[in-house]
Amino acid sequence: MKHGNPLRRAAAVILKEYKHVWFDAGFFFLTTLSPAVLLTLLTYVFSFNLQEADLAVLNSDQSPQSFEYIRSLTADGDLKITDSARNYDEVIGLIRAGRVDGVLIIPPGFGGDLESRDEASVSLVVDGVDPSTAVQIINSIDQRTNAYSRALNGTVRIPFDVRWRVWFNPNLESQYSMVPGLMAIVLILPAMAVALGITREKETGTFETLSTTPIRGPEYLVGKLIVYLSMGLVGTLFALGVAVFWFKVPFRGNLLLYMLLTADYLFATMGLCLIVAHFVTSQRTATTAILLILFIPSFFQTGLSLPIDKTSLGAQIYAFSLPATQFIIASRGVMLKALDLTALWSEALAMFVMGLVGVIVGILLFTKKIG
Amino acid sequence: MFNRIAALIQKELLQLIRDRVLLLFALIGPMIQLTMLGQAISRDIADVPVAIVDYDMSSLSREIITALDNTVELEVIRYPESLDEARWLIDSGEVLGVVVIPRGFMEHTRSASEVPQIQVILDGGNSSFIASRALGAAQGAVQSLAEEAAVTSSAQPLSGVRLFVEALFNRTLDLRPHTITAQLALITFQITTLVAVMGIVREREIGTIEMLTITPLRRLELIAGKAITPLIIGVSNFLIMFTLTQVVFHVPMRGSFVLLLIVTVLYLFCEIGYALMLSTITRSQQQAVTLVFVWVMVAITMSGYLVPVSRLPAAMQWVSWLIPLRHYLSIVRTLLLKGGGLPEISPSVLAIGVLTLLMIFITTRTLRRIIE
Repeated sequence: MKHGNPLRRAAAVILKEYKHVWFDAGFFFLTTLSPAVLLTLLTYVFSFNLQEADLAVLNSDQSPQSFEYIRSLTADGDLKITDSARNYDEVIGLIRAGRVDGVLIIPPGFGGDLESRDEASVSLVVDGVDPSTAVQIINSIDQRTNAYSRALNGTVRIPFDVRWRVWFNPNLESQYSMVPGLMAIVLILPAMAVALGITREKETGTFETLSTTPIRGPEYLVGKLIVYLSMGLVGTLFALGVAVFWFKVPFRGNLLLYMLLTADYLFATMGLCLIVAHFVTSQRTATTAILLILFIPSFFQTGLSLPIDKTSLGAQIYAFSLPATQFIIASRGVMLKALDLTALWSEALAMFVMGLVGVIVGILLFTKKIG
Repeated sequence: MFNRIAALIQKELLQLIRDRVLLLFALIGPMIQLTMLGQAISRDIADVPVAIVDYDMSSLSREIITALDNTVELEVIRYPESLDEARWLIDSGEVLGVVVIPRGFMEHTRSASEVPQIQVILDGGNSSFIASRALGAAQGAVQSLAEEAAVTSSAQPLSGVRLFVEALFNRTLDLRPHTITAQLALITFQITTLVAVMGIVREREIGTIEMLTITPLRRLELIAGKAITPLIIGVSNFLIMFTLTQVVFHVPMRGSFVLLLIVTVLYLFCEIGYALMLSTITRSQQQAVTLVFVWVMVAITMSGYLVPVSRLPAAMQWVSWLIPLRHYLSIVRTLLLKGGGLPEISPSVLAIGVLTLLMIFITTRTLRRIIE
């Protein structure tokens, strides 16, 4: 210990890094402001009404009943009839060109059947290319058709019925569940800054200079992590501010717990980024790698909007290896359900272990390189 | 002229081969990524875990439980004793919904005064897409059971409209082709852009751009030379991933492959134009990487990659016209999945063409400020 103690050396790294992040506009933006900006953008993107759709009608019946049925579908304004078709070829044409989300085909004799046999059928043709949208359209038309049928049976007594309630989100607003989930996505940006910070030193050559100073690998990395983690937490507060005050998403849980879990998540993602940073030599390669490994899969493989496939072992392993999977559960749990650590300890532990492994492996790799 | 461009291309390729890690990521990374995502993506919403609190314990309540369990969407995994216990199951994320059958339920179905109700409680703190699917399934199952019972009790058929659904291009509403085509387009875009954006700014940062000004290279030749490497990377990337979508994931290819390849090359030129434009307006490679990152984020959010363009807020729909990925994504899906041809994709191709010319124009202008 010729050159003071490790803590003082780590402190020197921390001070240097803070100056760096503070004076470099790009890094300052990436660590503190970019999560809030990206969250705003993504929330607007995901803010669409699940029920809304544009439809076309092929009405071969033209009876009063058919018009009444169509009116009952469009009464609440979510479904709009924006086009019409005269034959099946036009139906296919409309959908292939993407002009409408679906076409309702009312066969000849619809009104007559309803009068005489009390039963009639209609077909709905939807664009199957985007299955999520297609399913929503099928559901909303199905619900309205059922309601229409029930109204026809005013006198027949239905023995029982369903009443539904949605806990934590009574109006099933997609923002309520999306925003806490999207926090996981946008907080990858401050973690990415770690990888960029390290590869930048490699690019500019200051990385080699480090080996001539008394600073050891672990001190260097831990110092860097502390700086980026704390900046990331500031960024989290900005993003939360946007979520709560701009998008009016409720925050029902404990803020301190939330910040702790966020630190845990940043720790886990930064550990991964540390390993990535060891293998790449340029910032563009680091960006490519993190986009491919962390960012894009976090949209699809973490239960953000699509469920994790329980039948596929590969999907389960993949989901588990992404820290976002755990954080999405934790973030939704604290923000919407006001859960405490007793319900979320397994997620917290999983993220912590991931971070620990990442940082230890990172330190081992880098110590070899610097030393 | 061709000699000059060829010399530049040779130099560019040499530089590319030196950055092995990038080359590795540019060619093998996308393959691994597409394979993993493609394997792991679920085909449909199936077996959403639910719990049932059966306070009634009657033959009717058991019938309802069976009907719910028999739907594709739901799977009954737990039978908690009370609502409090069920609440814990939702909190811990074990189930996404709870169905409550009240005490005396079967009894009350026979009384004339009231219509007893089954309560469906859903976890709204989870993806609302999954929640609405599960809700629809539960509602459908219970209502059809109720209607059956009504028919048998009143001895008179219920009137109503039956809905028959046909999903064009994707009969089973498989989620995979949609997601995989999105990955194909996005990854090709991303890799090509990241390779191309270093074109000018790198020369500028290390000072070799001054040397280029004393060579006989013209500005357009410089742009053409700088476009070749990313184009090679982009096309090979596309071919590798397209093969994967066909061989491994059996994504349908209903249109013309030749047309797709031609349009892909045009599209890549367009993206390279954007990247070179970014390259001429930045001063350091680091700035360029930051800008590319912002550009990728904009493209991801507004191109229809995450959410269909028609569902975006109006302002974003307008902006999306400037994003080549939006047009390319629609072309890929029209050709592969819908079996369309040139007439269907011509508006998108035209848009890409216009954007390409615009970018060449802007880049030659900004390049003049740097090298002349």
